[in-house]
Amino acid sequence: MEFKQVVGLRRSIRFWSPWQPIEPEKLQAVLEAIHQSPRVLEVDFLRVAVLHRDQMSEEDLQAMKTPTTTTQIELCPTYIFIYADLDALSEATDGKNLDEMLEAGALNRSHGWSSEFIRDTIVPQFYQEVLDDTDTVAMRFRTPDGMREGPAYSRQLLALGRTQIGIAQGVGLLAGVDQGLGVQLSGVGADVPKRIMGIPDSWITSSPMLIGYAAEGVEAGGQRPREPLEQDFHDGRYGAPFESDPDVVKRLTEDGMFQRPAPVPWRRDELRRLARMFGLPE
Amino acid sequence: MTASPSADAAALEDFRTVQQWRQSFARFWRGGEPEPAAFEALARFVAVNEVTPDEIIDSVLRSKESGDLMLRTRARRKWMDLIQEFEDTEQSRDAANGVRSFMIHNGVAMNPPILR
Amino acid sequence: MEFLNVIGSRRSIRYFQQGRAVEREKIQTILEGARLASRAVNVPWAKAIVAYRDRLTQDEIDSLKTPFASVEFDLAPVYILWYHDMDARRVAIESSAYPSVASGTLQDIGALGPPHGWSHKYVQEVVLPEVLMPGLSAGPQRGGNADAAVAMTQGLLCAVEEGLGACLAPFNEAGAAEVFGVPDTWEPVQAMLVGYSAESPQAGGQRPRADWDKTFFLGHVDKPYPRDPAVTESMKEQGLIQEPSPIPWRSDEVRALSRGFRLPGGEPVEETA
Ligand SMILES: Cc1cc2nc3c(=O)[nH]c(=O)nc-3n(C[C@H](O)[C@H](O)[C@H](O)COP(=O)(O)O)c2cc1C
Ligand SMILES: Cc1cc2nc3c(=O)[nH]c(=O)nc-3n(C[C@H](O)[C@H](O)[C@H](O)COP(=O)(O)O)c2cc1C
Repeated sequence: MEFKQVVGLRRSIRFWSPWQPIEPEKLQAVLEAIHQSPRVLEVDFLRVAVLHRDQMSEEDLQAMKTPTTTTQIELCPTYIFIYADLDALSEATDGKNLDEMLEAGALNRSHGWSSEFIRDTIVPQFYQEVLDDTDTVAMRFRTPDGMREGPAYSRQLLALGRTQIGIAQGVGLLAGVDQGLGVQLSGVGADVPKRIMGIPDSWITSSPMLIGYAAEGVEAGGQRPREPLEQDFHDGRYGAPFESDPDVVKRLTEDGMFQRPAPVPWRRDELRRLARMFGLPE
Repeated sequence: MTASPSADAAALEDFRTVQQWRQSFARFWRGGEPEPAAFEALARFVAVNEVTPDEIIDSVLRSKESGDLMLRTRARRKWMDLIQEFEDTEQSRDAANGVRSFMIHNGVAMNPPILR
Repeated sequence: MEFLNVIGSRRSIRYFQQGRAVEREKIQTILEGARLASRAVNVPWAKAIVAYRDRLTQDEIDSLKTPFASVEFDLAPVYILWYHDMDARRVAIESSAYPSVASGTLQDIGALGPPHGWSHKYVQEVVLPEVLMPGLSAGPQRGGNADAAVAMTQGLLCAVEEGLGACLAPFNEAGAAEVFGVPDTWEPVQAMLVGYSAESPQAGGQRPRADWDKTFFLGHVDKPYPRDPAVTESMKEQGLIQEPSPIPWRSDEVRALSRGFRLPGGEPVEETA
């Protein structure tokens, strides 16, 4: 699909056809795309675990629900959990990934890179500093016997890990749309997948990507609203709003990145019929 | 569907939570009101359980000051189970969803299992 | 451009054409793309400042550099500095400034509703106190935010699709705060260095990635996700998987680039007789 159409067509889908599994080749295509996403500072933080709903017990499915993720859990056939393994940074202090980048001709002498620079500067002044930073947060995990404290990580390290998670999520969501699938990031009880899949304590996560065939129309009621561009972006310095040029908006609308805004006139009808189809309340 | 003889939907009208249901329903669905059958289902449900609509909602949301989440979670669970029982007895998802709609529009989320 | 081809053709670009400005409309496209990204409770966690190299002094440029990225700041004409707004949640709740869950917008537009158990009262009684408010009294907290990176990534891909070269890199937080007047409630994510690439489209080939088997799992961390070679093959055909680095002439290209930019490494190779 055309790239801008993909960006424009992405919606947080909240109704899937629960009976329709994803073809393995489509799921793999999404993972292959995630595999090509940028890598934060040559640290192999990224871990991705796929869980199929039908492999889970009814009890576990219910336990994964949260106040903001409810019916989605049952409607959606597959969940992709994206993690960052924070222990990857200490593993990267051997400098091997960076060496590979020298060999790849990606990091070059023109930019100051060399084997010595990696070992004398980057590893001690960057990797090690992030590891040694004393501004730490202890991980906490919910268990059947209450909360358990896990390892502590520096906030800088958490920020790098979360950046890698977001990068992979961003690519993964769009790749799902490109494959004709309905996707949503949605917060679930992380203790359940952690237990079922044996996730180590050093893996932090965000909301999983729910993925399957949408039961709502592709528009899912229209493109969801955003605040004006000027509120988020600044031009040249903080406080000088980046003014939106209407001609650009017009072009992006023609290209499919901006689409009809929600709600489309028939959205209530669509919701009502979806509710009746699945036996959900109104 | 088995209509309970004691069901009296009209008698529900004065309850604060029933008015809330109507208002919130009309707000979300852009006008209209719950089906008459939904009011009747709620009437039968409160009769079977010997409570008023306000009492149901208060039992779930009452502990706001204390912030006692566990109690509320447990109360919600209890009503979810009772509504499921009601669904089984009446053999009607629609009737049970009438009650669930009442709960939802009063701020108590309900997620019945999906009919596949 | 086809989506998979955008992903596959993206490279971290580290050499940019000089004298060729980035059109403002392309920068706006990057920002619009970021703003359309998925974001928890529809709050704009991602904020950014667009900076133009040629409007900065050399001292200001130097103050943004880190050991990881320095020359890039000299070569790229535009920097988009991405931040995580640690105050966005409070603003969403207290001033309803954004079309977020807190302001009831997602229900008004029919994105969420009673079929999922949601009502306006539910937002007031449950979502606000139990999901949105906890931890707010502790004030802005560092530690990153994946959503800001989701937005940044959508912006990055838009840059590629617009025919631009881009590279993400950390920047000096204190330097940027001084130069651009950034509020202390913004936590840096990364800088996106943007310009027209001076490298070939292959930029030496697709860069190395972590082993598939150590990255992708099915159902359990002991079980690598089965990778079907036929699908991988089709990904090559669709341009997602491209020739791996280093392609044979990369060292010549890098030497020529370095020479062109008067950077180290541009010296001719000594002929050994
Ligand atoms: C990290 C993250 C978590 C999210 N969690 C939920 C959730 O728990 N429930 C939900 O309905 N939507 C969730 N969303 C979806 C957002 O509400 C949605 O992206 C936002 O409202 C914008 O709508 P759009 O994605 O359709 O453009 C989440 C999004 C992100 C990025
Ligand atoms: C958060 C982040 C920070 C990065 N920082 C730098 C950097 O400081 N210097 C640099 O040369 N490349 C940096 N990169 C680019 C990575 O090195 C690059 O993504 C990785 O080598 C894969 O190559 P590719 O992006 O060309 O596919 C960064 C990437 C990310 C995602």
